[in-house]
Amino acid sequence: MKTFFEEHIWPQRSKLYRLAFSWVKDRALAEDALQNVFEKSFSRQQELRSHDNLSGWLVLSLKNEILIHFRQNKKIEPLGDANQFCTDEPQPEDVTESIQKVISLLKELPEKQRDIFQLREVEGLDYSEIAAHLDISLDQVKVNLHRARKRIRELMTNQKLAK
Amino acid sequence: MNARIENLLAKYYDAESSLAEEQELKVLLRASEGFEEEKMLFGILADFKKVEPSRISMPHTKVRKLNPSWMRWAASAAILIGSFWGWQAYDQKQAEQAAYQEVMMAFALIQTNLSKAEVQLQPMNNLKYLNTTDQIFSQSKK
Repeated sequence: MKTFFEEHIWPQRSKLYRLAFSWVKDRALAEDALQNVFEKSFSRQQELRSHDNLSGWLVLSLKNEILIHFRQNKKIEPLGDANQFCTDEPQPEDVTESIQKVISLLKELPEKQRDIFQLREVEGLDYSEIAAHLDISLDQVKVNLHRARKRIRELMTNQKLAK
Repeated sequence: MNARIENLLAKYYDAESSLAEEQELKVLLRASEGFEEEKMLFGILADFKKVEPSRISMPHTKVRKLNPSWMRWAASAAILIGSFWGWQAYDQKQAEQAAYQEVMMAFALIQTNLSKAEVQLQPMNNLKYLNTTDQIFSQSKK
């Protein structure tokens, strides 16, 4: 019989990892942060079982884990948000060109738009699922997704013109 | 087909499209000419979706690992203490057994001596046939 962790948390690892990776642009750091979140959530299974927004809790925990890492390494100000995550990490060799393009596009978006865009375009979540993941309203999801897509189109057009 | 793509793209950029419509848009784009920016965008996003963690492991209930060298010393000490305790218990039991045997021998000796005394006192039983003290002493007067 599967545990609560195996059934509800473990299947979210790929999605959470990609979110973390898009924030920090560092595979090892994203994995370490996610592993820490999994360790914590594993030990708090009973408490999380009755949580009304498990996905939202996981995303927030992951964000906090990364913020703690950067604060400990003094790479962001104490009151900084996830948008201030260090972006100067060297790109690992195994990051392909297309992934680098995605990362550079996402980097141009504000934090909320970036998360919403990624959850929709990469993870294929519907509006209500995105709202739950980020603990925001449905209208906020639609407005930010509209802005993000518009901005991405501008960036793609500019890139085309630059070529 | 292009009209349908244009229509779906408009809905897409307005964030009014459903997941099914977005899927339809991607399928139509693959089969159509042009729309290079959108094709490229959906292509790189599909590549990004293939990014998977490689080092994440399922957490397990932590089992305390004991130091093997420490365990060897602990096992040796346990054997020594156990042997000493066992020897002491055996010794005590032997002493108790010996004491019990001595007591039983003492009882047997008492029993033997009591039997001897009983035999020696047997003549006194004849006194019961004499009715009075006069009879005893009158006979002796004769």
